[in-house]
Amino acid sequence: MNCEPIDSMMADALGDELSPDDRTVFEAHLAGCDKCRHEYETRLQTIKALRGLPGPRRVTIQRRGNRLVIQGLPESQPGVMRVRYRGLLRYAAGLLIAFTAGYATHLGMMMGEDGSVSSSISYGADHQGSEKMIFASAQMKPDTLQSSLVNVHIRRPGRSDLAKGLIAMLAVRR
Amino acid sequence: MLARIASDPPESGFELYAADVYGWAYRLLGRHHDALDVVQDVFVKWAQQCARQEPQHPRGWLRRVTLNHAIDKVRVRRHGSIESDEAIVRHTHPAEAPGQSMDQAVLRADIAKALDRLSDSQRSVLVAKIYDDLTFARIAEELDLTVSTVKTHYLRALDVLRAQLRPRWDDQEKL
Repeated sequence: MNCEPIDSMMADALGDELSPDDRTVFEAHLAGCDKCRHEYETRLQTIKALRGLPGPRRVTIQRRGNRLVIQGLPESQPGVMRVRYRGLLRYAAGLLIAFTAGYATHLGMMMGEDGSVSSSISYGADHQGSEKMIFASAQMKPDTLQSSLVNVHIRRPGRSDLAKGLIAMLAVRR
Repeated sequence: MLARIASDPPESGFELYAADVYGWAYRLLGRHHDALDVVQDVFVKWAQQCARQEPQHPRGWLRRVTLNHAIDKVRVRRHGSIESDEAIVRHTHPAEAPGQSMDQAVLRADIAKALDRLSDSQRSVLVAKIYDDLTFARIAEELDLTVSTVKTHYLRALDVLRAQLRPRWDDQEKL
């Protein structure tokens, strides 16, 4: 079977530019030639795969001064950069708050003469031999303060402070 | 959404072609912000080119430069981990099933790898035919080539893409 004329028609067939008469000749050849039919079908499959990718949204891009203004994007579409860092910032903020609260719950709280419980947060360190003492206290109003008193712990800060801080935060919120 | 551009491109080129440039870049990259980066870079190049001599066929020139920049961006991205690509795809396509988004991302990566192996002309012909739906005659005029050369480039480009995508189809058939 002579496939040479079909080779010259292949690009037009795939590009949808064959005339009706040539299309008839082309398809008649494919019906009887496995090799040409395979070439045509696999290339067509490739074109379908390329066209199957989602295209861009319809946008208009305008220049205003030295800025580009893009119109047509949905407001809720998250940017890659914002999504990447939003989670990290929240996590970091949560850790900081939890550690701070953890330290606060391990501090001595003093009951004032008028029944108010007050303390103030300050950090300091004083070495006594091999131990490190950490002094701190928290300034809080009675109605927001936890009712239990805790002892001052002489120890290094650790993960348990984070856990206790998280629990304390939940207790205060209630 | 606003982005800053380094210089003022000629009004006519930018206003006419910015959306097309964005579309070509998005096809290859699949990410809005990456496509905008390419738009920015391409029109800086456009301004520099127009300062020397405006291209005879602006659209053809812009398509070629856009594809080159998009391919470069894919090369840079390829050095990152697959896990980070998965996470990014999941975040930028929240409405789609994660599996489907990942499949599209992998398909885009395969397509970009194959396009990277093509010459500038072959790449431009393929994109112009598949996505812009231009006739071979029109493509030949834009790229200053003969029609038979354009057709040869088209078939060659399809063959390279086919070779890259064939393993995916074979795997799908096995399933």
